[in-house]
Amino acid sequence: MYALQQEHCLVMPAFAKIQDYELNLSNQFVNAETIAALSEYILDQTALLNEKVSK
Amino acid sequence: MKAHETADESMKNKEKVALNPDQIHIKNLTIDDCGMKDGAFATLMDALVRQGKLTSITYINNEFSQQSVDALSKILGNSAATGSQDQQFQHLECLKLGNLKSGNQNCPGRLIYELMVAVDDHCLKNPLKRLKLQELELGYGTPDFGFDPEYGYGSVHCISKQFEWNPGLLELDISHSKLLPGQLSSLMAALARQYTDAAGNSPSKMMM
Repeated sequence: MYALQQEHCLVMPAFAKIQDYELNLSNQFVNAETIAALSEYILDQTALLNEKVSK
Repeated sequence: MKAHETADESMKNKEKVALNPDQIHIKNLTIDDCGMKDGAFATLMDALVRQGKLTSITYINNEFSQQSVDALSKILGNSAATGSQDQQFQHLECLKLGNLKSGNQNCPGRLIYELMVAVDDHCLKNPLKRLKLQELELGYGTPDFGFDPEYGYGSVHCISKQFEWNPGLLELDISHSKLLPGQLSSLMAALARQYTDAAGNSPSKMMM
């Protein structure tokens, strides 16, 4: 589980650079564990962002 | 190595990001030659379906089996939650699949057929604009479907239905796909039917 950082920012796995609404994993080997971590990051960050927007 | 050094090393491999939508919401996803397994792709799709922002998926040179089909079908049928305050929901517009494997074998045509059924089922609500099915087994005919003299076999039948049901389809790429004899002509016939004018002129006649 990722620890909450300042301003509710989480840490993103280094292999996953989301920029300008785009995620490109081309030619990067990804196993089940790294994808599980990325998916968890996406879910957590999305929840935080939705919470921020709804306030 | 001390524990805190291990933690420092771990942090070097991670990047802190601000809580910005363009670094969290994913609209365009490209996974090309990543050694991605079926279950991992499904896990990622299950996370992205909850964002409701994904408009483009490119998935090439990876594993694709039943879990991937089910997850993509969910993405294709995704819709804004009832009562949701999110006015920014976006549906999938571009799907590009190519050279997919199931284990050491080519992805079975049956799975592509199942996916195409989902594309057709959801195209009225969530129509695709671009569809690429490259180096895939499109010549699959379902046992209970068989050959349709008007549309051809299973997957080809579904693609033909796109011409009829999805006028917003701007691009279709089926290059290097294994079609059975007659299937390409069946597709062309379906395309010609769609673009035959009221006077009965087909594209070839209209160009003359």
